[in-house]
Amino acid sequence: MAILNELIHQPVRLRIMAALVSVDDDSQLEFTYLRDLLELTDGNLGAHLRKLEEAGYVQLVKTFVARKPRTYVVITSQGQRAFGEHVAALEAIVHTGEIQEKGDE
Amino acid sequence: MDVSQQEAKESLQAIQDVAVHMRRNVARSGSPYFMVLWGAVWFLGFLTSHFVDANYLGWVWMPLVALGTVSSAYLGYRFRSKVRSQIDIRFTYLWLAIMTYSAIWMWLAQPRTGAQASVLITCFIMFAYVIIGLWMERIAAWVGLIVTAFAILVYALIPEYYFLSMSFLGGGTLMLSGFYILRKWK
Repeated sequence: MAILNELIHQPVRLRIMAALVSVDDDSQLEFTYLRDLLELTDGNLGAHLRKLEEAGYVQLVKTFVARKPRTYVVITSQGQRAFGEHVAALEAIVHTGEIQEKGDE
Repeated sequence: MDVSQQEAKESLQAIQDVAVHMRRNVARSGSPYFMVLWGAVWFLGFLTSHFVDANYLGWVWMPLVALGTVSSAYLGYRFRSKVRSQIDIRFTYLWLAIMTYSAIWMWLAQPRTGAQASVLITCFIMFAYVIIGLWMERIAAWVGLIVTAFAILVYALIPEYYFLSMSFLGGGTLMLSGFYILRKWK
């Protein structure tokens, strides 16, 4: 049975992970792109990304584009698995609740 | 960790919302701009082709295609810097394959008129749109099918107005589709 992931369940981190899994497996999203998409501040996004990176769910790739420093975020295979399990656990809760509701009727 | 049914539903909805927003954002940042750009190139190219002598068609199309290619490279670079993906490379290879094969077919078919060459190239380019549409955005497949149908029908029924018709039907469809995506996915 899938288990809820407390680290991913936090609303901002959940949305970060959702954004990263909704593109191709090998896609890298630029930090400012993700920040604007999720309407977060630099500090807020940075803090949540650090936690996800420490857990091994995302990887931060620092590079230079046209001589300017850029940070790209990419989801790891471990992150994909953890997110998939978390979603499965959420779906199980919804499904179980619906069965119970039908039983009560 | 306890999560209520309502909270689980809200979390799943949040995931769904971000995924939809993300996919639209990625799709919106690329193809519609290319559609508008190449629609404008087609519109100008075909419109001018209608009025100039067939011997000068190369002089009409070469600078327009060069401008379109350079602008496409710029757009590709600009959007790629935000989202980096292997799919960008696959797109480049797809267009290279389409161009290579259309050159081979042109050489084999030896079209006699500018309109014949044009309808052949149009079909190849629109074939790429159909493939992209099947992969990613359904609207690209529809644009590909509609423009192909326009090109073949106009060429078969009113060949003398082929260039003029294609400027509005081909170029116009591309531009309107691009604007439609930009407006719809704003």
